[in-house]
Amino acid sequence: MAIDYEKLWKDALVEIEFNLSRANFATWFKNTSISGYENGVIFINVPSGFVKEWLSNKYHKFIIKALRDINSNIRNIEYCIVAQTIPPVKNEQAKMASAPAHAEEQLGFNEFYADKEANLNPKYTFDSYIVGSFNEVANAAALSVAKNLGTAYNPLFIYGGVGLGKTHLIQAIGNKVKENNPENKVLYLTSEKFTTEFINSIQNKNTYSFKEKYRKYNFLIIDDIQFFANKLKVQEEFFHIFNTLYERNSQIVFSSDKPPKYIVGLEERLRSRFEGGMIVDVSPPEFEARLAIIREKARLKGYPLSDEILEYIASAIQENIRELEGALNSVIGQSKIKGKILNQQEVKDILKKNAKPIKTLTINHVIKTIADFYNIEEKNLFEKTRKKEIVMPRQIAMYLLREDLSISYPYIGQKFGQRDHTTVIHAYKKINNSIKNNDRLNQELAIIRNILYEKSA
Amino acid sequence: MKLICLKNHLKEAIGLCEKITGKNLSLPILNNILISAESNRSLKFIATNLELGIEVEIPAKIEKKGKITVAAGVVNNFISNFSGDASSASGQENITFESQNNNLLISTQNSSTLIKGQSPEDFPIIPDINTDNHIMIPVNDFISGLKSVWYSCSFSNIKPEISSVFIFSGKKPITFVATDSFRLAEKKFNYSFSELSPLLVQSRAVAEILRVFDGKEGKIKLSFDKNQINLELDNIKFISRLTEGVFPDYEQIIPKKFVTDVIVEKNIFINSLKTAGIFSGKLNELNIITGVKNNFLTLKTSSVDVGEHIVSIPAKITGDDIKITFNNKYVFDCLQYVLSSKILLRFAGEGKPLLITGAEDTSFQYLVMPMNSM
Repeated sequence: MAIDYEKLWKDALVEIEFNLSRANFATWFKNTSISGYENGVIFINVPSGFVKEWLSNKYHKFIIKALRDINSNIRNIEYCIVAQTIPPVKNEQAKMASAPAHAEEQLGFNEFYADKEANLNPKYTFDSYIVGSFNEVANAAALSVAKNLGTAYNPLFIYGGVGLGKTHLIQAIGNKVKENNPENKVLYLTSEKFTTEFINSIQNKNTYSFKEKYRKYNFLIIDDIQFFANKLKVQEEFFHIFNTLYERNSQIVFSSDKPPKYIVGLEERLRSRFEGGMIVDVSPPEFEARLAIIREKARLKGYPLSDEILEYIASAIQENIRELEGALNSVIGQSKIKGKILNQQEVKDILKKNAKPIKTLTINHVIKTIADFYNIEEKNLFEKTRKKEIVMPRQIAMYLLREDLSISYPYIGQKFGQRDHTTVIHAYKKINNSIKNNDRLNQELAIIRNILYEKSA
Repeated sequence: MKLICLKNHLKEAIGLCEKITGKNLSLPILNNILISAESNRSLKFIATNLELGIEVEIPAKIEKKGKITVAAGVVNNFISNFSGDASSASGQENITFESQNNNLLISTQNSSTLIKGQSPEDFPIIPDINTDNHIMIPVNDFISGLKSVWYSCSFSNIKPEISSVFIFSGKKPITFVATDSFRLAEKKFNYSFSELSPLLVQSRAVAEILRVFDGKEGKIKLSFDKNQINLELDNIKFISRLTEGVFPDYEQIIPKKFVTDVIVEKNIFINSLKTAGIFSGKLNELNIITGVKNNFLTLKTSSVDVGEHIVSIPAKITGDDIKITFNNKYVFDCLQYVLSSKILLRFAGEGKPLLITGAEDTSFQYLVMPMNSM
């Protein structure tokens, strides 16, 4: 006999409520439920021994009558004490408020909190992840993966610049999955750690147990996968682990600072597998999102900062959430040392020291980088030659100068050995068209840009 | 119900019960004490807040059986202030209780008092458990175990397992542990109870246990099941719900290696900390600096509003020099539970916990994390 326990209990409670005073009903029937039925005996979960005693001694008749009216097969009731896992939350906020700053300065036993087996940090959850237009797709994909493990998007590949919350997001998936079902075998690790463990296993000659270890998980999260680049042996090993997990429908999530296409030194077969699921990016947050993030962080630290100051910090630091938090920390730290709340000018002074200088690229710098990249002499670029290995870099240089530095066509032409501005326009158009269907060119451009911006940063 | 009993017995029993009553708005009867005269020679006082419960039995001459509930605050106030007959200063004075239509009539030789009561029908039943599963432990040790650690419990309810004292034994010596994740206190005794399963007792319950049983003598009977413990000693029976959950695996956080060991006189250290505490800032910061060369331990506190204080106390120091900041209160809290005249401070290094224990007696250990130094 299949019984809808929830409905049965709800119907019975309606009946019981008639016979009792409100206070009694509220006290004794709160958090009770039916947990099972066997051979005419209904099992009722109660939150404490007091409730058990009370129900079985005082209200037993009411309860059994109410239940039998609904289902005449019921003969008896067993009461089981099931402690409530939901703690009272009432006074919590008051208490939290009375212990400010404390949590920030006093170090705690972190070992208690890190989930040792899964290597997840419980502070990374979806609740603490601020969603804006810059990351809503990634967030939605992550939520859907957490909900439909192994079936929604497998593998999920999240990429984006440093300090934009990739680690937070992928660990949040892990924590959510653990929370949904503690039985799930989750492992979070960085590609670095994977590499070290692999090398150790080779040294200790126990590669077999290394393989076995990873194959038992049904949810594997690997952070900063770009560090697999150029490590062929590691990639091969990972390839096999990936295949085993994938075949068993185990969920795999990666993060990287660039999409798989642009990770140089990644084997083709691995790259295509990374691309086989879903690829989403996390872009830098816009002003409103930065403000929301910094406001939340300031609140968590329990330190009051005026809206003007928060807005100033959010507008001064644009690219990176981690730096945003760093700036907030130094403002709070300085305020504590000085024992007063800083005004806007003082905050400006602090941030001036911390903020990155604005990136400045010079024409010569771009040309030099391109020459180095294609392994040709700088002066070759200016020569009037139509050698293929020179023409291409020259056109790329022209394109980049136009696209990234917005230098006028005639000036670029002048720079490159008194060429006509139409030559430059032609080069620009040619490269611009090729990007659309030439992956190799695309990749090269990405790498060159990377070098350019990293060096100048 | 009609009975006669002695005032000093009454006073004790009602005093113990009054604190356990609940302030439950939906069930106002929890504010009451149940007075139950069901046997011939004894009278029971029962109170509960649906988390804890207490039953105190006192000798009485029962003339007519019955029970009644009255507001605990009122009856306690009355009994503790009631001087009764001036002639009997010893408190050995007979008091008569009588119930009249749910009201309690208290009479002595020359006074008569009526306290409004409520029908005992609605008073909760104190749940009982099978006491086969029990241990007998000297009440002194039990109290000292709880006292030594319970102040380290977390005050927050978010993680109920760390707002409880953890008691375990099995093959290991019986051990009491509490932590709020910033510091951890552990007290061990040198005997074990193989039949004791690990228990988590709410810190609120511990506070009441300390109040009820502190100073008592003999062996306390501790019986337990999955959800509840019963403590019985002499005429008192105390019950408490147990916390559901798993206490963190704390042994892994106790450092194995230390960089600096310091031995100081307990009294000097306590007094110095007290003085230093006057000048510690808003966050109770206490700077500790060890001087290995000259064998002095330097404590430094400063507060923007109050001033500064530096004190150096003689100590035996081995290892590296270290400079580290702690919460003064956290260090101070534990010292009175170290049962030896010399205290051993073991520093594990910057950003790592400090272990505090006795130089001669290591049954008590205390671990505290430093603060972020600025």
